[in-house]
This record gives sequence, C-alpha cells and structure tokens, in this order.
Amino acid sequence: MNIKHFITTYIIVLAFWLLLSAHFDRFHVGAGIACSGVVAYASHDLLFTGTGNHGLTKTLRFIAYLPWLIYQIVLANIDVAKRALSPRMPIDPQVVTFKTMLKSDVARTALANSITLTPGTVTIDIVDDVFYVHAIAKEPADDLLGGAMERRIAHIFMED
Amino acid sequence: MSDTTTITNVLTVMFLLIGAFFMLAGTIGFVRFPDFYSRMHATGKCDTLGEGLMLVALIIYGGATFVSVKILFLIIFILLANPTSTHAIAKAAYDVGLEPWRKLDDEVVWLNAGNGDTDNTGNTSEGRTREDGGEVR
Repeated sequence: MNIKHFITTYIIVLAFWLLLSAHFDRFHVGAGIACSGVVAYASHDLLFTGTGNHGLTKTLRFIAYLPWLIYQIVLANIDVAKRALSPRMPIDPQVVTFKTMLKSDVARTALANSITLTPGTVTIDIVDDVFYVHAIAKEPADDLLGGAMERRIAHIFMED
Repeated sequence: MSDTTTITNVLTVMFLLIGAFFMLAGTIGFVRFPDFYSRMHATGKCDTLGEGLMLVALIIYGGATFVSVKILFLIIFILLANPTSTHAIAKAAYDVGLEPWRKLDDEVVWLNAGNGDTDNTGNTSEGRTREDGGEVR
C-alpha cells in the first residue's frame, strides 16, 4: 500500500465529505473522519493511475482547456437547435473514421468526450487507433478531420 | 426590493429561459430527426447545456452557499456523464449493426431509416468511410 496515495485520497475524500454534509458538529465530522478512512483504504489505488509524470502540468493545461470546450459546447447547442428548428432540417448524417495519434486511455477518453460535446459529432467507437465518429452533416465532419481538437488534447497530455 | 436582488432575479430568469429553450430545441430535434444516431445529437448536446444553464441559474439565485457548491459538482458530473452515456448508447447501436440514415439526393426517404438493405446509395455497408476519399487526416 502506497502511504502517500492513501493520505492524498483520504484528504480529498474527507474534504468532499465536509463539503457535502455542511454540518460541523462533533457527530458529523467524526463520522466523516471514520468513513473517509474506510473509503480511502478501499480506493487509494484507483485515483492515481494512468496519469504518469507531470500530473500537475497536465491538470493545469486541462483546466486551461475547459473555457474553450465550454465555448464549443455552446456552439454545438446553437448548431443542433438550428438544425432541429429549421423547417428544411439541413442534416446529412455520415460516419467518418480517423486514426488517432493519442496513446494513453485518459487522452483518448478526453478526445472522445470532447468530440461528443462539440458541434455536430458523436463518437461511436474506438477500435485500436481508429475513431468512428457520427457526424450530422458534412461541415462538422470536415472540421473534425482538420484535427485541431486532437492537437489540443495532445498538447494537454504531452503527447505532441 | 434592492438593486442587487433585482439583478440576481433577472439573471436567474434569463439563464432558466435560455436553458429551457435549449431543452425544448433538443426535444424537438429528438422528435424530428430521422434516425437513432441523429437523435443522439439532439439529446446528447442540448441536454448538457440546457441542464447546465438551469443549474447555473440556481447557483446565481442561491448565492455562495454549500448548496451552490453541490450544484457545481452536479454540473461537472453532467458534463462528464452525458457524453459518456451518449457514446455508450451509440456504440451499442453500432455494435448490433444499426445502419445510420443517409440523405438521398435531396429526397428524404423516411422509411429507409435504420434499414440496411436499401439500394439507393450503394454504400450502406461501407457506412464507416466517407465517399470522398476515405480516412483523410
């Protein structure tokens, strides 16, 4: 058992308990301290896997990525709302594939979820290195194949 | 009523209305879109932002309280869980062989949605690649 991971997990779990309970009397804090110990013991090896080195840099870069992602989500919603409400319903669905250069599971998951959240595209499957993406029209598919988002994700997880 | 509460109330109502609009648009898209996959677009995206905006409205209304922090965690959870579940459902449909609906030369063929043996496009079984050049990078 890695004692450093255990203590970090314990602190995070306890802070989360205090936040959610919002009661600071003896009973609730005591129960939190006891329960956090059990949970941290059971799950201390779950929180710190797959991040590898430079965990802090990756976390900071991911936080810096979020505003852009939220902007993309807003664009996606306006896009879908427009297509749904337009009388002509300008959709032309197609499935596109592309090969990814990302290696770690975390990076691939981040890319898959980002694709699903951004305009006009939903990730269907990842087989080996190949992403299968359903696009609702031609323009979103072309945007995706430009690879801008993949480069951003690669930058975050230091795989570029 | 003081000025700050007025501003808070106006912001709350604004966010609630915009969120409700996106939820409505997503639901209309869900009904109107021709096949399973395009419906995933409508529900997977609009629900994320619609719910997010409505929860932001509640945070603004509640102010800096513990409940607001809990709502913030809800938003983060929705941002993570919504695309993941969308992906899981879409992958399940793809794995059992549901063919995506294709637009056929400006003619909308509703009855062919999800039917793999149409002969109109000639590319139903090759639906995984694009017609115009394959796996472009």
